[in-house]
Amino acid sequence: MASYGMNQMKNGLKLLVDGDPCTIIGTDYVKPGKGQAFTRIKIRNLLNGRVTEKTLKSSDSFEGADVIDTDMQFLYSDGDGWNFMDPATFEQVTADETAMNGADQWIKEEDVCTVTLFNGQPIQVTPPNFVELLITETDPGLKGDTSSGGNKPATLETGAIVRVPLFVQNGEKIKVDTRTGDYSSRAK
Amino acid sequence: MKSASDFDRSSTETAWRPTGSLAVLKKRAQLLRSIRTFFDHTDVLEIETPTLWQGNVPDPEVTGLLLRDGQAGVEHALHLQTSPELAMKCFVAAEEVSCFQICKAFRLGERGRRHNPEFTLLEWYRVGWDSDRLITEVIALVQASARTLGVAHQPLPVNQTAYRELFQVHCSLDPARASDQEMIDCALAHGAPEVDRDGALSFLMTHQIEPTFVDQGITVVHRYPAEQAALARHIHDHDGVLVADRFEVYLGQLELANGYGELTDPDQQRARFARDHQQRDARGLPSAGSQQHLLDAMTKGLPRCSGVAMGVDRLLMALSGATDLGSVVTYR
Repeated sequence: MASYGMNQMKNGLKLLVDGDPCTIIGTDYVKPGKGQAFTRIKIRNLLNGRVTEKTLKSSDSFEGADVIDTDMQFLYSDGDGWNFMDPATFEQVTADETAMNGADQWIKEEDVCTVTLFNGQPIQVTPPNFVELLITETDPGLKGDTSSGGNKPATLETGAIVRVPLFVQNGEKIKVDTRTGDYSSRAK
Repeated sequence: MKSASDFDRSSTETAWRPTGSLAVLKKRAQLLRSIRTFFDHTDVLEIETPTLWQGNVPDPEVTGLLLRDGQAGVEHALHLQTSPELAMKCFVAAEEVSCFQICKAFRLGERGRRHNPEFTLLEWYRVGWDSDRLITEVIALVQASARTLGVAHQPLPVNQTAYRELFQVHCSLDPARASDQEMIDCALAHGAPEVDRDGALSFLMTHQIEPTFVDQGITVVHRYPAEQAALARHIHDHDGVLVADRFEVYLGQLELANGYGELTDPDQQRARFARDHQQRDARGLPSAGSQQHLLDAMTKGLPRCSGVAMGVDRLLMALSGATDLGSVVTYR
């Protein structure tokens, strides 16, 4: 992997810091008019999400991390984890619970997710921002309530539980924002 | 932290649009007028010196841009100025008059929220003045600019401190007495990468001390360590410690200006340049060219004078509350 110097730091660059893959989320070039230059970087550890800051001097460099985001199709889950396939190469990988980080509650077989690979291993699975799922269980709504006010829990076909408006019924398909876990609308 | 990439013009379709808003650019025009008006009331002459010169100040922490003029089979190396200091001091030596100039300066690789490889400098020299008197004038200019832009109706508060004192207060170390290892350990304890003594001082200044400067105030730091003299003369402080007759002016936490009670001794200046050139060579840095014109001028005689360089973009940033230099220039 390439090595990156102080002047090459920019947002989104993936670095290997103390063995962990990190992404840069902020940079700041600091230099007194007379004196040595530094670059402060804010980095998010891609394995544990922790955010830290580091200061680099001009001769410092970091190894780039072999991290890539690829679109992969969810195949099935079993005792080993969640299996995904690259639709272009048919290559398969298995994501563990840490990499899934709750993504499994939004996806069905054949859904396409963004899988972040570090040295070829999945470290993070990101479901589509919006998914359409069937309601398998919810209390019957009150008659005449059409839009506003009040909500109730609904269990979806993947097992996720979301709050939905009272007028939404069992067996209906709804659109959910996976980033917030919120009901978005009825699916058409 | 915001990244400079917000103003990156490299490949976007909107790159032809100015990075600064028209409202801020009007303030910029007002500021430039206000600076010239300020000097109108003095005997300081506005001059223009060449942007291309035979060399730059060989400071190993600053690298200039080199152009080659290959006309007529003779190749001349021309240096885009990192500051107009060399040419202006030649002029001061020749004419012995106070002068100012507003010009562009260029520094390779300096890019960030507060830096751009091309920037605007206001530099001026006061013949016969010591640095204390010049500091007073710098403060007056900043106050006048703040008034013109309607930032402050009352004068901004001013704090003036010696470099040593700042380190004693914020780092519990006296740079005049602390060993290299003590300085380095102190920087490491505050999150510095592995640095030498100079690096430790730069780190502590930018990371520990500058953030404590009052937001809406002017801070003047003076009497720098003797080894950070650059082109300033050496003097003794009240403890008898040899220090540089050098000052920096901040508005809030933003470094605006750097000034000197100028070194006038050509032999000392030659020795300092030689040491800087050696350091550049040792680090494999590009040549800073020749400083011979200034050395010749100093040999003829540079009158006792003080000079200061102020970043005009920085001044406008501080006065308009901008956090990124890109928003106070037409194009970053």
